Amino acid sequence: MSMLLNAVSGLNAANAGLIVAGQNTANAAVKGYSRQTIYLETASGGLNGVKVAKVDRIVNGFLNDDIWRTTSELNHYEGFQTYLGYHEELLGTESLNLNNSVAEIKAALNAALATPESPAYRQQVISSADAMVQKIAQLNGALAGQREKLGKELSDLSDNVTSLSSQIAELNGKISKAKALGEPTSQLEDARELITSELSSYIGVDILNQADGTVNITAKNGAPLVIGSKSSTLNVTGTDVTATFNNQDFPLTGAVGGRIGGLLSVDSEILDTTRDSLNNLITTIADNVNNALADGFDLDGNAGVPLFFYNPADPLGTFNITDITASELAFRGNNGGVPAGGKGDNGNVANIIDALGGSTDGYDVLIGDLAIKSKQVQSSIKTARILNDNAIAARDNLSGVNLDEEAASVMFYQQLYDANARVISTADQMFKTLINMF
Amino acid sequence: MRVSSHQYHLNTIRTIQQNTEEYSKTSIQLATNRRILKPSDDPLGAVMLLTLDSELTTLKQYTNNMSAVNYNLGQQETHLNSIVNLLGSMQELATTAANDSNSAYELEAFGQEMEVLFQGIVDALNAKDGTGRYYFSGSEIDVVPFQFDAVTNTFSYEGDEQVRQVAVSDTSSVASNILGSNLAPNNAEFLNEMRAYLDFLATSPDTAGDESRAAIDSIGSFLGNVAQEITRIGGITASLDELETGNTEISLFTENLRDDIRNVDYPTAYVHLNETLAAYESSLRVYASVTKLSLFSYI
Repeated sequence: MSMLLNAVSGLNAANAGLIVAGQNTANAAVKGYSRQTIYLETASGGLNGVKVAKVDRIVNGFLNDDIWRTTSELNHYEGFQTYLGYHEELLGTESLNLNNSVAEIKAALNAALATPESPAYRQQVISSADAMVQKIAQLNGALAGQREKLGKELSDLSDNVTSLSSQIAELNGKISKAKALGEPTSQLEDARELITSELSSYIGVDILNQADGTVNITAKNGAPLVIGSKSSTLNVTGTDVTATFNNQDFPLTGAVGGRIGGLLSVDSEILDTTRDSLNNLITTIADNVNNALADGFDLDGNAGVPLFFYNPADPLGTFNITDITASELAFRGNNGGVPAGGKGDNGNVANIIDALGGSTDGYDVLIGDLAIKSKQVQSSIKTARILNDNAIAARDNLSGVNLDEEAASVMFYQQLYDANARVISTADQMFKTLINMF
Repeated sequence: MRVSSHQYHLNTIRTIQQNTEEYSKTSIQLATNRRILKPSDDPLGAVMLLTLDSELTTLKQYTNNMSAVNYNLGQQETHLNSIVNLLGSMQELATTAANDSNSAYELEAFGQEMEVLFQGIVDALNAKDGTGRYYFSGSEIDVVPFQFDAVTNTFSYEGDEQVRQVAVSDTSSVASNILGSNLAPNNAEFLNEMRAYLDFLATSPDTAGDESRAAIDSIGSFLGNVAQEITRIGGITASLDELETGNTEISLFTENLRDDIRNVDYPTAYVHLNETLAAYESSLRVYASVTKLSLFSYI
């Protein structure tokens, strides 16, 4: 091969190197871009110059797996904390503190001890009970709103997962086709990795690389999301999520990870239990007070009637006071089935106060549990974020673009170009020298 | 280590965001004077706070109860004191009437004067408060405690034996009313004896020595009853004063505890704020100077 043609192959190689460095520089800020590198090799045959063997992405599949895993974990905890944080702040609000409500009722009852027949003090008891009912209604509204919001968010996330899965399935198809035809797949693979990253923030994924360049993706609980060029559809009813693949249903649980997993977990671990303990709390208060009242006699000497009302099917949503009037409050004591004293008897008031004693212990426990859980999850979020940052850093350390490095490459290939151009001009001079001899 | 340029920018932004978050949290703490912004900031403290406020409400109510009892008992004491004064005058008149040197005319005059005093005592025993409740009829507050039956010419006690206990602490309660049956036991015996004595004087007797001495005894024992109940009121009032002092101290302690848990320690928070601000500023500076460096600038 001639010196001239060798030099031209060198020029071409330098050009390709500059193009790759340029490509890397141009994409330095593109999220998920994997830097590319040029592989040069000596052309076969004697002194045949250089050739560009391949241009390849610099990636390590394990590093990507790490990112996806940690992203799922981070989003799981963040999703969980979104709702947990709201609950602890809501229930911890000073103005919604159930302890204060009960203390107000007790205070009203205590105040009535000195003048139990006074309509003003009796009315104050009913008003303070009503104030508690209002607070419970406010709590119930906020909790129901959260559950509704959670359902909507799950539905949005499921739509996203469905759409991303189908995009990955489509890319799978393109990649296997391109591979078969020997066409470059870098850009397609970058795109697929980027979509997988997004997918992993919504749901934890297990990735299985196939020989034909496609990937199969399953959720952490085994539900298939993408197989070859086919994908699942996610459906939400209420707060239940199901993945449907080939007409087969796979229900998802909190164990699937990602934001969907976080939301499913917070639904069963926090929303349900909070509701249960509040239900428990108000039914206890209502039953105890009503029982104490039933044991006494009202201003007119009639047996006591209930103050609180609730429907056992949904105590939180139906908790209310009855249409009891001030004079119907059974403050008079019971002496063998008849009123123990006259209108000024306060014998039963102490029983009602006793009935309220310790009734809010469950509330303190609930807030304490929420607060401690929230603190744990907040620290889990911190840990998960550090792990996620590290995973991204590890990937970027390998695959990300460093502009100084690219600048050095540009200089290097420029020098290569200059040198080869000098070889061409030398060859030209040699040729001219030879020509001028004649 | 190979660091990609994009990653460097991201790292810096993250550091700045963390600093901003910390700075904003501290400044909210300073602005609201609340150390615990949400329960998870201090779960134990938050749970304590939940109950401290309601404890304060209860303590305040106990203080109010004490004032109510104090007021009620004070009113009753006033009536009992006026009975004591009336009894004093009656005793004086009865003692004079016991002297055999009085004429029938004088005795009748004494009787008339004592009749007025007697009505005063009956009125005081049947005293009502501003809302029409009888003080001395137990729980039958709308029943006149000492009723006179014109047919049998006798008084009878129509109230009951119920004492209203008012809670003044979690474990103790005090009586808030004096029973008429304690003042004039044996179904208003004193009133009946006095009624009979006054009726006797109205008949213009020649002498009333024995009857008057019996009346003086009767007045004396009634006075003893009244004095005993006044002493009881004094005892309750004194114990309420003690309780109130204790109550105030507990309230103060609880309030202090609540503020200690809930409120910001200003010096610490302020120093922390400055620290975060310094970290924030330096990351901005480092970022600004490092981004100026690039090999591309030298090509």
